[in-house]
Amino acid sequence: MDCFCGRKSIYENFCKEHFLEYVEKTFLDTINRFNLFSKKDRIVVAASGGKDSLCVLYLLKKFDYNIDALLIDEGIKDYREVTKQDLIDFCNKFGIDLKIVSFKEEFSYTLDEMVKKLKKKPCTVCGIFRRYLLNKYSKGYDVLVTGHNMDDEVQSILMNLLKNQIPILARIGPISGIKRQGFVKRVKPLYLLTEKEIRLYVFLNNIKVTYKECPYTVFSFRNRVIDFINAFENSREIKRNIIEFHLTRLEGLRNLYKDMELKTCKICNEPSTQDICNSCKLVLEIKK
Amino acid sequence: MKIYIERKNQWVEKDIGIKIKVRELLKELGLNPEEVIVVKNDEIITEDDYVTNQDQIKLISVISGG
Repeated sequence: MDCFCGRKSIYENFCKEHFLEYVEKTFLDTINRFNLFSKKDRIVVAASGGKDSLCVLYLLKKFDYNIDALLIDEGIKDYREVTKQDLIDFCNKFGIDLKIVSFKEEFSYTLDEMVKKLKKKPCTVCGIFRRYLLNKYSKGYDVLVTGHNMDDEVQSILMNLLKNQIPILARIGPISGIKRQGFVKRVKPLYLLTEKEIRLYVFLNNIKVTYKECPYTVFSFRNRVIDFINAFENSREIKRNIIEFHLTRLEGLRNLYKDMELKTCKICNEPSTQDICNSCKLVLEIKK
Repeated sequence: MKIYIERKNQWVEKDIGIKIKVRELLKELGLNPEEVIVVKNDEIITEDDYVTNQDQIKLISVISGG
């Protein structure tokens, strides 16, 4: 299949030049369509050094947004060191200020050490502490950008639907969470780009990404969902349909759960739905 | 043909006869086209392109490891 311009295509019906143009246009259109942020906003990007965060940093820098990067170093041996170095090199090259916050400094233990002490799934512990630190260190910024892509979003929609976790369906979307005091606005400018489009864009721009698998990743349920969607020949169209359907329901879902009571954690004063937030509960458990 | 599979960080040798469509090659390797980018002699190619035994292929993983 050739590109509409007559050149050989490299992805669907796009040649290299028109593919790059498509990604950049989709990125900018997503920011405008959902009113994610403006050039006046101070933006912090949650970055891991993987393809998604490097792609979003590259695009934000290319279009002159006011950005800093924030890396949460969980302390996962033979994994985070590699992606962290890719991120450090990238930020040095493009003149982006990078702040690194580690579990070890914040909570006295690395994730590897926590996993040995706690009888909990590593991804649960990691998720709670990462969310806590991202919120804590994004204060003072207008918006927190994440590199979530269309595949991540579709997987989350289907997984929560299949598990009947409807309140969580209300929290996902291009602007995640239900607007509350104490939480920085979190947005996803790569929301309408697939994982393949992002990886290809990063590759074509010679951005170094090292493939490294997290030793704690348990693919089971998410992987079954990925396989299910990607098995369709027109999977990109299907993903887009799921996203657009979810968007039509999002406002109604958010209205349903907008009155959920929000308190302040008695220990750390961060916003929480409980008297003591999940992060502080975990810290207490580790110290036992 | 020499094929590098990034996800496994591994080079494999495969005899594919005269030529084969990328879509068929990926099927034989048990890989979904949505989950890899195919690079032939440093150029991106699509599932509809052909590869020969003389080509060097790299399969870049689309899915993140995190």
